[in-house]
Amino acid sequence: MDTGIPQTHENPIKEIDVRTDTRDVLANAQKYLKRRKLDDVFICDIDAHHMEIEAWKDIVKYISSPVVRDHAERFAQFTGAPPFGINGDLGLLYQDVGGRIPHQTSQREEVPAGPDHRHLTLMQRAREAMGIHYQVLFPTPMLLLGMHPQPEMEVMLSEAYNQWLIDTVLSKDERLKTMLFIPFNTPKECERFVEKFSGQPGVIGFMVTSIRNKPVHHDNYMRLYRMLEERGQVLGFHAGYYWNDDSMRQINRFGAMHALSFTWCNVVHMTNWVWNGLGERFPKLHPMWIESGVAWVPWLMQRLDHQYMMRSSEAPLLKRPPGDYMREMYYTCQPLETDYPKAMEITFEMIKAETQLLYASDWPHWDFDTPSVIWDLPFLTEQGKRNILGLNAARAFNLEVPEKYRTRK
Amino acid sequence: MVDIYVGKSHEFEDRSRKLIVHGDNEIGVFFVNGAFVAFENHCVHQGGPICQGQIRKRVIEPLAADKTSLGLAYDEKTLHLVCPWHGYEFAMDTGRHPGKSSARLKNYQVNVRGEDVFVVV
Repeated sequence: MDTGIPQTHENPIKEIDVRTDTRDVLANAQKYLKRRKLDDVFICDIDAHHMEIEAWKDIVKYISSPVVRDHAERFAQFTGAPPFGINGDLGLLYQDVGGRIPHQTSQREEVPAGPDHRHLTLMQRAREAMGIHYQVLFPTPMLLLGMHPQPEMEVMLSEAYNQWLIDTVLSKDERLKTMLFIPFNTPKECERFVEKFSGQPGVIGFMVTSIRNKPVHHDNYMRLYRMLEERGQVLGFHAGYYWNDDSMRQINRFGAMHALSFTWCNVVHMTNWVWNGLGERFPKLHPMWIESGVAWVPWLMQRLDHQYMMRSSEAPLLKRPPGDYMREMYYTCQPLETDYPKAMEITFEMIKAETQLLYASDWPHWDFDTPSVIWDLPFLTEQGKRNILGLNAARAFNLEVPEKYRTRK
Repeated sequence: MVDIYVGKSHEFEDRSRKLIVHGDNEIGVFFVNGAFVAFENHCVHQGGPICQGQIRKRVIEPLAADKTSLGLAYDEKTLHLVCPWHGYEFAMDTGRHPGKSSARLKNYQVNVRGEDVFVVV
């Protein structure tokens, strides 16, 4: 009998740690969805991650070179061996703030034994908790491969990872997708990757890891861009941080460095892209800027437009100010800088967010965003919220929207 | 206002807690430095489960007389509750963020009658 008196009980999970089930960690996100009755909102998460190096022993089996593969497999036999061939600052992983954010530290929760890889289960649990239909998966330490001293290792390791991902993860779950890693330091290999992997299960686009010192306007990339444009494929630039960059080495604390480095890489690539008229050369190829948040975009629009108006002779391919091209690109929202609501509203207006912005969680990383960051914005129309949370992604990637989301309640 | 029974006071060791679910509300009741405090299990940032986060000492950076840094140190007297979603920290006694006091957790009164601990909702 319902007495109308709320029932009281104790939640047995007093403290969340690295072994807590993802669904319990994200229980408040699930409650939010139910409270707001968002079960008819189509949500796509355009940037989620897994810790691919946990599967590195399996991934290196896909390395094409028999010598490098042999070395990698021998290396992996040593207990505690780091992932063979991975560069980067694996000892500078301060993201979890000294262990304060457990899901960033590690995901050691129980997963029932079965034929599928445990990462599939982890992603499914996160999707369920946040009401996400499609989720785009990216690796984590591999985001630094663009700084690898051996360009051929970027090619070999990313090709091995891509095939492992398709075989082990993407082909087992039609709601998991990826924008596949391309080894941007070797343009010809990027072209081969596009030929080889287009149309494979779960591949909905291609991704450049933005931490690298390669000018995106170099003539060597024009064939690649043409290929992507002709195939209607999105080209993502996934940001990262690189503390060993000379400018970043001046900064002494992780959060401050992270705030700059995660935007700076995309600031440079965006500037080269726009100023060199790639928007005119490839008008149907719309880049997508991933994991830099959005606050950097109005700043850069203003800087570039201001300079362009005085120095248009240096950018003769442009027929409009740089900001016009930037408004035609796609952006993912995370980490959404919500601390200045008026600035956020203007930012959304400047980037035409209602058609160009795509929700991204970045789960399970420490600065992840739940769908509430979009749904709670007071200045958006409901249609705008629905667009950003999923319908813009459906349009950009030609994703099927299931029937249950097409009929509004 | 209703008193919700939480438990017996002797069940609480220093820096321990109970998570009480009351209808749609979830409230963390903590016993810290000899006093009870209670907060809604909802971080003011993105609604994360703040009351299921770690209790950590506040980090400070003492300065020498000439304003040079003496490095990072712990404030042994001040405890923070840390949101496990994103790391937002709040003082255990006030529920306020150390750098933005307007960012404050919703708190609840805790009543102790004899051995029985109640939170008032």
